[in-house]
Amino acid sequence: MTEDIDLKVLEKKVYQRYFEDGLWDIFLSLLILSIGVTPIFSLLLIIPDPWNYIIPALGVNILAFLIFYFGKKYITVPRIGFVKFGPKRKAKQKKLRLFLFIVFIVNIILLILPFSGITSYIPIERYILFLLLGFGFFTFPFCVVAYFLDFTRLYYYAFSLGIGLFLTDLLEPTLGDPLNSILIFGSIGGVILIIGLTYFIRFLKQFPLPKDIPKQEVTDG
Amino acid sequence: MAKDAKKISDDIPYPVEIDKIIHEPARLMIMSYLYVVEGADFIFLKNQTGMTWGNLSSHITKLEDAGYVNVKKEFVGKKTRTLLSLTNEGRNAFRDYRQKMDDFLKGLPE
Repeated sequence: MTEDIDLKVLEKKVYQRYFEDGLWDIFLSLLILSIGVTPIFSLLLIIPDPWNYIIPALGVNILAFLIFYFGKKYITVPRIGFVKFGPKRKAKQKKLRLFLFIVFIVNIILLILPFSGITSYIPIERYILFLLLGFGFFTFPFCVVAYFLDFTRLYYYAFSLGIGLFLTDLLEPTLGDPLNSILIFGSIGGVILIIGLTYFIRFLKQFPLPKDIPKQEVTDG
Repeated sequence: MAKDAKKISDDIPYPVEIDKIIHEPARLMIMSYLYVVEGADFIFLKNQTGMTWGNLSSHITKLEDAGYVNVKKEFVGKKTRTLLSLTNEGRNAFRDYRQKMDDFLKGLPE
């Protein structure tokens, strides 16, 4: 009987329960959609460059965080309950935070590099450059996050985004800017949003709000 | 009859030291879930085990009386949350139970 209880697998299943609400997918989809749809907003908003890009992007990102935060607090936790994970899981999350900080610094450096003129000395084909950028900006960091979070679907999203950046550059001569990024990132974000909403609806059906809950067990997360 | 009983006990050792508090299936489930986390509330355990509130409460009380589970009420804003966690005694007892069951099952003839 006891050999059937693999405790590591059990802990992982418990942790992954918190991804069944689809909120992570909805959150990521909105971040990706902000790359895709910001150019549309920038055309509609009568405000000067670059604020016509920054404000819509910021708005969508803030919306994404709010949906995620309040969704977890008022929808997820009241339905599946509250768990305090053990020291191993906490250590993994600490490593993730450190990794994200390093990624942030590296991305800042990569964004500044083209303005320094260094990249003009690098003899590399444009399409290879975009493949590497896609891998460096999206695929690799997202895969590492997926590993630390045990969030399997994120591996697929990571590869989609990496290839997406490459396709955006590939389509630029045909569709032009910003239609190429609207199409690619809008599509990827849209698909992830549909996946997230599907998980979310299934989650609400699978975990209704507990009935006849003893008063002292009421929690808001 | 006595000869048969002796033969049975020679082939299969009687698991006299198995902790019967933990051995009950519902409590074993509760202990397993609490063992892999630092703490959890009633709603989480109810979802994972599929028990009714009354049934869950009854088993938690037995585990608390045995000194295996700690029931702590804490405030989250204006509401209280009841957090359940294994005591050190509970963790040791669960590890001990696992080891004894493994030994017992491995000792069974093919």
